[in-house]
Amino acid sequence: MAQAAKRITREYGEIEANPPQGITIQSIDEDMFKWNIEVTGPKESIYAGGTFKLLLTLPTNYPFKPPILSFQTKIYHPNVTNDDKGSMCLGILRSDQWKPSCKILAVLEMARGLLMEPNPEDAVETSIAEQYKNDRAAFEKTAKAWVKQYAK
Amino acid sequence: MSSGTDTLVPTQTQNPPDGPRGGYRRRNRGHRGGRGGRSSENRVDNTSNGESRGGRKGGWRNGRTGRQPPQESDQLVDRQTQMDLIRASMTARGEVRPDADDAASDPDSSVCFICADPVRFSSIAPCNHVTCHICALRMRALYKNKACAHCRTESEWVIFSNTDSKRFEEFEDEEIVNKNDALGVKFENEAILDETTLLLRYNCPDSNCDRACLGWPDLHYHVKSAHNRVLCDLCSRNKKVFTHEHTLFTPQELRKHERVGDDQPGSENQSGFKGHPECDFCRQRFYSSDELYVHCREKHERCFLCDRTNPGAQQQYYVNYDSLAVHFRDDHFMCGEQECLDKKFVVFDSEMDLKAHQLEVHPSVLSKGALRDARRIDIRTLDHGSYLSQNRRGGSGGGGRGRGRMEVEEPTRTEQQMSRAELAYHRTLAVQSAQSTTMRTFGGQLTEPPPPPPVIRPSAQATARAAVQPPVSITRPSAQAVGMSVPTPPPRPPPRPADTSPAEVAFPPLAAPPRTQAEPSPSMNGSITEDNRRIRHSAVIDRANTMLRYNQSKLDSFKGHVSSYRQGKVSARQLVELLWSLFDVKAPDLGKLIKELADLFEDEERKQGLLKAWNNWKAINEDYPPFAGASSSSASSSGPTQASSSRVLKLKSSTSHSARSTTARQGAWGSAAATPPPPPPPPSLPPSQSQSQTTSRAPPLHMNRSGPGAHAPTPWVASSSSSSSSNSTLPVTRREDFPSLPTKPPPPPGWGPIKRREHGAPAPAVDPWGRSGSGSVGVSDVGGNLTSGDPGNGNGGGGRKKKGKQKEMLFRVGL
Repeated sequence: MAQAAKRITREYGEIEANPPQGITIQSIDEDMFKWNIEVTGPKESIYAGGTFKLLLTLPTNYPFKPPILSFQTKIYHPNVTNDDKGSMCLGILRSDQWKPSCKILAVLEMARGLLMEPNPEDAVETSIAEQYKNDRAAFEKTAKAWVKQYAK
Repeated sequence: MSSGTDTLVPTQTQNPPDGPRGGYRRRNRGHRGGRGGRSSENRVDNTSNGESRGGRKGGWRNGRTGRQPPQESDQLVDRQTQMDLIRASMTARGEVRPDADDAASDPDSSVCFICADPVRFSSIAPCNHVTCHICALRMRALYKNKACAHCRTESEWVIFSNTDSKRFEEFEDEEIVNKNDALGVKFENEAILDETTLLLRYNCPDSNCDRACLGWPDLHYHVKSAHNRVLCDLCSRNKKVFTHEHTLFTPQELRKHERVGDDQPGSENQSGFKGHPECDFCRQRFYSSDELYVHCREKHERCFLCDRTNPGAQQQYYVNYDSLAVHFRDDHFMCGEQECLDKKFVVFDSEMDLKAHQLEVHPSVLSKGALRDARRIDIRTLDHGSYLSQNRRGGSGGGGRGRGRMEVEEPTRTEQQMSRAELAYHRTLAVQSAQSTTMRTFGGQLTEPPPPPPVIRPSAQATARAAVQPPVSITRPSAQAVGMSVPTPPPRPPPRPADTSPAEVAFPPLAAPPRTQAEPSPSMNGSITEDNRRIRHSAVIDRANTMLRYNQSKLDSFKGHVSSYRQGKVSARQLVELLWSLFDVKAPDLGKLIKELADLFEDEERKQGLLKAWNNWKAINEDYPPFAGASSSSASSSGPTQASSSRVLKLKSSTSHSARSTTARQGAWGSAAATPPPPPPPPSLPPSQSQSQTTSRAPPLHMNRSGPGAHAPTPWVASSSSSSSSNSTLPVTRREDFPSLPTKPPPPPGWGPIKRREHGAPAPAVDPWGRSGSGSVGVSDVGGNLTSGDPGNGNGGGGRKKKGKQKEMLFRVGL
């Protein structure tokens, strides 16, 4: 429907015109409902030095339903499923918390913010969250190792 | 959109989206005379067309959208005229927004934040957030969501206004010319009302047709007859767009639409739609993968072992349990005993687990040598070895070979999933614990005096089982007959008067041969029901009394709790908790009581509520410990079998629809009667007809399908066992066995039906059953009897103890 396309087009334009720090976007072919995202690990974070590929999928009824964000690059993070989907589903991305007024830019910035500071209280990988809370050193070690292995 | 332009590849579009097109068009329409030169846009652009479509003002009074009276159909009112009228009226009242014309040139001020379209009218919410009226309408009318699009604040009312600068609270009542209660929208003027009404009608999606239909059927008919096009049924049911925003297809286009979608990549109007996914088993399409997922979860099976080992893998479905069972056999370690096959989902990750299971549950089946072997652990595979093999198996399982498999992409958002896999997993646990329990009780039974050297091995042939079963069914009718004539309520409630249950249906034939009386005649129904209820009631009180150790004050508070639940003073959950604290008994015992209790409620809602609350409670407080203890085999078995088997049942059929009342009743029945779970009888009943066979067979499948249901516990078990029995040997054998039954098992005291009734002790009936030992069901009944009867308690305890010892020994040896 045209409505979704219009809004998406507009947001894409805004982001392109004023790209957020550490985030690049790229459309996939001619499909405006899928965006390739590249997020660099924030300098201060344990993911520094890594570049993470994400896939943003917009529902056909965007913005009335939330976009779907998944990590294509493996990442050791309590809020990202540790499987081949790498899906991230929390906070504003949940359909019961999603607001049509929320913009993709905010979603992306939230994602990058999570790299800076994981949210173990809302984790999808509970074991990683436990480790993050109780054994930070071990968590960081693994996370850094994964960055080295997958995100370079 | 033909008017212009460039295919809009996202990368190229930095210019504000509201560019020339939507904006102009929209504004033009309605204010400026609508469809002027631009009106010939291709029909893809449905959105903007919609607002201007249609003629006559519908008016909410007609019942909003499209419910207009028939005269509507003949009103192919000239749209131009119509729009002119509206426009004229608006201008006359000075209601046209001054800046409307500038919308395009000043995108930011007049573009809706949500949809990026120019704002025609504003919707102002109490939180004073503003969207265009179309977005507000979408949220309210299509998504049924009264939340603000900006801040999610729910608001009963929003105001559709010409201005966006006025605050919600500044609107005076007299400024509102109309309002719609269903939508929660107040209108500042008639023009907005008209526009809104137009938008909500069943407008034909064809851009050159301004027909407003009466409803979906009418619209389907209209597009077919007038435009020779079709609408996508799935879309029209599920897609949250205004009617005119749907797409018309030729039949070929529709097929493409369903298969791969009608996206036009690169075009400005691309929809992102990739087709309606199809269930490969059923060849049925669903609106989106979410719906498909729900369908698969409910109708098909998943392997919980594969899911557990490889949680991230793509989901594999099996068309039904049979297909899943093949996978179990090929790729995992499934227990091959008939008993377990009937129970389903008795399958293990590793050989070691299977052996442990066999040792525990089917020790008698294994030859001595096999027993010894089973206890021996191959050290080579012990540690990582077994783990690896299990992994390997899991992996191969995921490989997608084999028939009847389908992979479904899991919807990325997995909110409401308590997956079937999990359920299945719990089921298995429950089955396991039930089994161990069964075993114990069984053992106990054996050691007791009455049980002669009854050892029919658990795996006993179907024939043996069939032979055993008849008694059960017989006892029932007789009991019933007696119950009718003898008012004194025996502690064990007789079978319930048949209302509707399938069991009942099966029942009559059975009962018929032995006793015509057994078949409840309609005329007798009332009194029977009454009688039964009384009997059941006293049974419940008896049980409660026993469990409370005849403590009158506690009994009184028990009654008090129940009646306050009946009157709605306490919730079902509270009641369960009250009872739990009142009764100092094990959960399964309490479960039995609660189930009987629930059965007493005539109010279906109360009954289900209580059962549900109990199940929930149990799920929280009960299910996990047994799980942990299951391996040790000691813990979970302490409770009477009845409860645990019922749990299995519950897990299996948490969602049963039609069978609900029946099953619930059956469950209660079984526990109340303290006789072997009634369900078995029905299946076994069908004396000889092949017909009956098929029916008995059917239930398991059905259950299976319906998914984990809470209620059907007994039927499930029963049906499965019955199927096995009916499969191999038939009625003939059974009949023969039937007469001989009494003699075969050294008649326990009071074996004859009548006698039994007099005793009021279900025990005798139980014996034969228990002896057969094949069914966990039968055993469980024994357990039930024991506990229900006062003396029974002691017995049961003793038996249990012994059982426990046995087990321990086994374990010691084994390890």
